[in-house]
Amino acid sequence: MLKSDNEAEKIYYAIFKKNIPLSTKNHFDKISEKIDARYPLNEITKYHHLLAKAVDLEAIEVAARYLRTCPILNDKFKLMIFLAETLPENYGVFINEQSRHLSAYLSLAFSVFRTVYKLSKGAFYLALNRI
Amino acid sequence: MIHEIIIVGSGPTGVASALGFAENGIVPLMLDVGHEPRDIKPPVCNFYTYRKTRDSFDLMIGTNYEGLQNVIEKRTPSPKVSSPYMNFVIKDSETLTPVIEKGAPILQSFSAGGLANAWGAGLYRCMDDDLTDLPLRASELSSYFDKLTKEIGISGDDDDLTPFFGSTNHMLKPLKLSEKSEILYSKYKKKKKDLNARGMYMGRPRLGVLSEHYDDRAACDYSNLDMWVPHLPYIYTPAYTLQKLIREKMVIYRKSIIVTCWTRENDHLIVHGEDLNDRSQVTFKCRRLILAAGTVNSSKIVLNSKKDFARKLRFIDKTLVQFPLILPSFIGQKIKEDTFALTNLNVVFNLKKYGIRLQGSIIELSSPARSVFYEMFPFSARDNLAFIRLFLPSVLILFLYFPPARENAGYLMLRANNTLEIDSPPEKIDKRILREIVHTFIRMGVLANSLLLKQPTHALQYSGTLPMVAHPDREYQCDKQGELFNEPGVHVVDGSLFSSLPSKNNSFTMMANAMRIADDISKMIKKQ
Repeated sequence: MLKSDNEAEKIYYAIFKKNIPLSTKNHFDKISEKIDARYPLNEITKYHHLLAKAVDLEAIEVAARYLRTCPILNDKFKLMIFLAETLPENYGVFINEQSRHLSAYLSLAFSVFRTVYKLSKGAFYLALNRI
Repeated sequence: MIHEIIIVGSGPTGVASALGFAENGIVPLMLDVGHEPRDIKPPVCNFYTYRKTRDSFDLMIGTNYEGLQNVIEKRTPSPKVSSPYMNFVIKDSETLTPVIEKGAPILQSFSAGGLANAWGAGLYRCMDDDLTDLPLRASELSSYFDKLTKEIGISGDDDDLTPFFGSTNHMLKPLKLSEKSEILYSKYKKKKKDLNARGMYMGRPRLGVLSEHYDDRAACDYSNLDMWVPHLPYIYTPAYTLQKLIREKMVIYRKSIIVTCWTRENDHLIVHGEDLNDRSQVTFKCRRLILAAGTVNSSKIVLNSKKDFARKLRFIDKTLVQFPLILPSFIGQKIKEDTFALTNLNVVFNLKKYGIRLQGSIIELSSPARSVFYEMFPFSARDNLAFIRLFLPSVLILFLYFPPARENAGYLMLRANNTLEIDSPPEKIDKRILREIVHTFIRMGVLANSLLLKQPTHALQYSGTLPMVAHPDREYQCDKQGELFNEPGVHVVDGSLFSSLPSKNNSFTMMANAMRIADDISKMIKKQ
């Protein structure tokens, strides 16, 4: 089966901007095989091509979600989110630990603009590579 | 040995009927698969304290990746049964009763206590107008409602919903409201007159969740473990009553038995099954058989006993629509770690204009994993996480239940290869009703938008296959004692009997009805 050596590392880094813990990587690799088994070979090839070439995986993922071009990438991101949530070091990424209304509104507004940028960037990359 | 009574199944109706027999001094034999929670020590601290201090992989995902079923198989059973400690609730269900699902996914349980091990514990008394298609009045159930209220320990309040939910006899005080729910409830109280005129009523839920120490069980500790840990002492499961009945020798309990059918011999019934320990065929003799295996499995036993592989039995379920309700002042608020994570408030929409009454449960989102909300937001991965962290604390979810339309029933049939085929078509929901409900919440000062509605799903309250009618005159109908037409001594006591469903959860009514039937049968036996 086609496989990238550092699939888990790349996805974890794209989401959390840090290195993946070994236990999470091991779980990801095991479950990845089950997800891959659901897809035809051409989808898996496309996914690994993106993984190997893409610089901004987060941008590609959001564009792929909207354009429905690489569902396997969306599944892998979702899987990583589920696995990462169980780690105490990511607690603050998922759970708001301090009340902060104004900065929350500003953060959310920034997130909307950031997504528009990421979506455009990802869509441009996918169009450029005819994916 | 010929048993007077054999009960199949230990879910809410099986246990309620056993209780009814026990009260009359009759000791039934209960046959059950009876899966129990894994023998692992679950956490005893608050969910958030646990997550902050240690790797919660075992609690949230599990060594067999139970918590990732949604990701791996793209199958979405209730999130509560997907968690590793709770997974025993649906263990082996796909192999013991294989189902070809033509519509919505079918959830079954072979655990001791049944699907109620993972229920929301909403226990509502049906009123006369909820029982329109049944030969039954609410007054005939009231003494059983009272007895079960004492047995279970139900919390609630005497409020605007009492006219819809019935007597508050023996009720415990309500649980502590979450901060958001408290604000929502105060908004309702301020605008009550206007909202009531629009057909909306709000109040506290009736829950089998203890607000105080009761019957040797501890009160709710607001630990948010409700989605994760089975047999929390404060959430009632029929398994508690079952354990008590076994301890007091008021029921003979045989587990690891799956009942397949019955046959007749002289004046008694022979119940056939399989012992799952050694896959051997076993038989038991009885004078009366009580089917309480849940709508899906009771129907399967009936069809298999009649060797009827052509008949399509009418199959109904309610429809569930989920509304996010947003309180903007809670955006960016710190998570409240000591919140009750199931239903905090109930609403009833009595929409006379549409001739419909709907019931909804307003639920806090403090217990599920945050990851399950990842796909709810349309942003990039890191931005979705920002919304999960900062926006989600402002959201309550309204679970709004629609009764099945009379013309929209599906079917259940048994194929000759022992596989069930169940078609459960999606309900068409009148969008004007949804818009009206959204507007009502907006009038209360809550952000709601019909664009935010999730696709309607099924409520997993299957019913109607073996309807109870006043005068049965054809196969697969039951009389008021649940006795199947042309099958003397075979009684159905579960959801199969209910040929129509109100929008309210009718589990409590099914339990009271099962207890009533057991009481009636006991009296008949005593007379003989």
